[in-house]
Amino acid sequence: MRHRTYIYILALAASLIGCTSGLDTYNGVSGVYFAMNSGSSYANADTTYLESSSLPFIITSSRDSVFNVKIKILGAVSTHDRHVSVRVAEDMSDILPGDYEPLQGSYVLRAGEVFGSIPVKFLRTASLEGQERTLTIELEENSDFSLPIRYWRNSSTEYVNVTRHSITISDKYVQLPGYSTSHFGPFSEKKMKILLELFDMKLTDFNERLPLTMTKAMGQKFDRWLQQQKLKGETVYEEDGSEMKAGDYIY
Amino acid sequence: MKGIHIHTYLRSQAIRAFAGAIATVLCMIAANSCFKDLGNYDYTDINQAVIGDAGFEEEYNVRLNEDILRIVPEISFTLDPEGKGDYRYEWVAVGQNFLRGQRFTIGTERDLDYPVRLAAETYILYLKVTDPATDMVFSKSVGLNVMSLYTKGWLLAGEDSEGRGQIDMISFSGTTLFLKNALTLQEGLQLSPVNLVWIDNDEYTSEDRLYAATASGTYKFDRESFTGSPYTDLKYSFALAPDGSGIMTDCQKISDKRHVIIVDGRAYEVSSEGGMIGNTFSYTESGSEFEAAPQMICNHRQIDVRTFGFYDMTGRRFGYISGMTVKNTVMPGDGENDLWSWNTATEFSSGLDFVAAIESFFSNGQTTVVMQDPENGDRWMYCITAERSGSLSKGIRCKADMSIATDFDKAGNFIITTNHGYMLYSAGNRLYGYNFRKSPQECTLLKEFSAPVTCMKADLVTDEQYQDNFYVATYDDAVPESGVLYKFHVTDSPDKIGIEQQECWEKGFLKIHSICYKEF
Repeated sequence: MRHRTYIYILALAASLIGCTSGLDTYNGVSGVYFAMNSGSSYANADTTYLESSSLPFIITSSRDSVFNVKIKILGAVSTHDRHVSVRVAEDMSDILPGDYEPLQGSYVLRAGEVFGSIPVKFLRTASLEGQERTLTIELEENSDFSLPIRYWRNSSTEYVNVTRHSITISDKYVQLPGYSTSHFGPFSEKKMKILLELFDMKLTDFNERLPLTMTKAMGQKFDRWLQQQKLKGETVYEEDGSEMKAGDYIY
Repeated sequence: MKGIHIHTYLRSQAIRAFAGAIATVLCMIAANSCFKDLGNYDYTDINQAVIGDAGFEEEYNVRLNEDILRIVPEISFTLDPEGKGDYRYEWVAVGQNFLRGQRFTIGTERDLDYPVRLAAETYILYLKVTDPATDMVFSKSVGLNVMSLYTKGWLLAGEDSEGRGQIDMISFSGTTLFLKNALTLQEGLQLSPVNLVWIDNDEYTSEDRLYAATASGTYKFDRESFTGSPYTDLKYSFALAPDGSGIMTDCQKISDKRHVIIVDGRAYEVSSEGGMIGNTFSYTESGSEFEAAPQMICNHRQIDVRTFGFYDMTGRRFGYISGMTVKNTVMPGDGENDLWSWNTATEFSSGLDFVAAIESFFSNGQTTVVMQDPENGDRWMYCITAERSGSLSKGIRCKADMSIATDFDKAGNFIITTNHGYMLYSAGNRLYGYNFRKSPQECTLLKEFSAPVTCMKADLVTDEQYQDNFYVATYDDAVPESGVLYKFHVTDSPDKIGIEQQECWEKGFLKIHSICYKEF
């Protein structure tokens, strides 16, 4: 009964609060954060973010590449250009000086813009072959922008730091969107090379998701090939010594 | 003491109930206090449009570019008996299948007078009447089926007098029309004789699903425009293109449950993912690949049967697939008391050769497989049912009595009647009725045509699918465009095989090799 009384009191209070009309307009500080979308559908296109990205040179086949890290402002848009300051987070980076062109102290966000980007130019050096290295950049407060948001809530269990962003560059085989773990099993460079040879495909063919029927058919054929190799006494092993296997959901 | 306790209890209960009631009333007052009373309590009658049933009682079936859709609605207005208001009218057709949800305004006058230009599709047609004085909208709807010339009818695939592959059609779009050379061959595509035509009658997956198989390859055609090109070769539908010419010899789809195709002696499932074809399952459990016979065992009579049977030409035995997922073809074992074996090599020294698989509605969807002993030419009929329960079941097996079944060794076209399971087969100009289930067997000459029979087809698809009707095509090679199509009704009884001719279309058709029905 006592609980019911509390509920009535709360309901009464909520009803009265609900009568308040009008909302305050935004009059807070101007802020900025990294807005690297992780959402894939229209509904969550700009509501969930990543704190790391990858740049695999092996599929770009280029000697250098500019990676744009997207930023977004908080607060009112401005009628004049403003500056966004970034720096390298040394403690979270293992990139070598020759792997990228030094950052500018600040980057211009044009008047009237909500979104901008921090372009970082990476270079495919000889020392990167077979390696991957990471550059982490972080936003700095300056006279134009503060950093009111540090963690962004992607979901009830996932928070990401949106004041810094890590870009991992590589010159080795990496798992691309077209690689289906369900059909091909855990990714490895050795397996990827076998798949490319077996199906006469290029790495770039895996840049996008492939039709389910196709990856399933490939998984079946790959599994059959592995079995044949085993029957011939030429069992295929991963680099760690475990037997290479196809995915678990090929049928 | 007991009385005092009860009194105290009742009193406290009353106080709590009173407090609760007060709190509830307070909440209601608080909530209601948010609303601003506009004070408009003057009710007035609103002019309503009442659209009568006339013109909206039965759905319309109209032909694209042929018919004019005229509807004169009966509309009355409750406050405007003479209907002199400045009302707005809108006739809107809303697509239901391919154009699901798309709206097309086909008239803005009170009376509809519309030369049909809408794409062939099933629509719901709405008449919307708007009273601008109140902006109230009143509507009524009716079904509208727009059919193109190619919407519904029998596709007759074959070859012209020059040996070029084409398709004619008997169209039932309103009236019966006879259409010639329906395929549009683009980008230089040329077809050799079309030996098998198949069309998807599933409205959800049917796009580009008209398959025409020739002796040199198979091509997909747009289901509505009948256009195809070298770029619509069926080979491009394979996830992993197999070796071979891509010659389709059978294609069967059971509702939306399973679609199986046999190409170059291998059986595949066709996915609902854009019609993409995965890997063959013509493998045994041990992983040995085998050559599948050109036709399969399936069941269109029972509902949603995922079981399909195949004859392993390599191992000379029957196998099947069933269930949701398929890894390989299952080769069943025999029961102790079985009268015959799934493995023909156990009973015949060389096993049996495959001749034909004849699907039917007889005996809950039994398929009769005609086999031949390569050693002596004997022919055998294996009656097998693909069961919904997930396996093949054995029916009778009979050896053809060649002294009774005239020209059975020359037979090229077969059907099985629905009611009594008689076999009808053609050899040359003749059509025979054959009761192989009886002992002694019986065979009757049913009809002698003026030209050789080139194709036979039992109607297991149309609205008449349970009426035991079938079609026979003939062609005189000496006379170009001499294709004739006959429609028969089976009038059999337990003791007698009979047929009754219902139609004879002498319309100069192609030399017909394959027939299938386009449902929409």
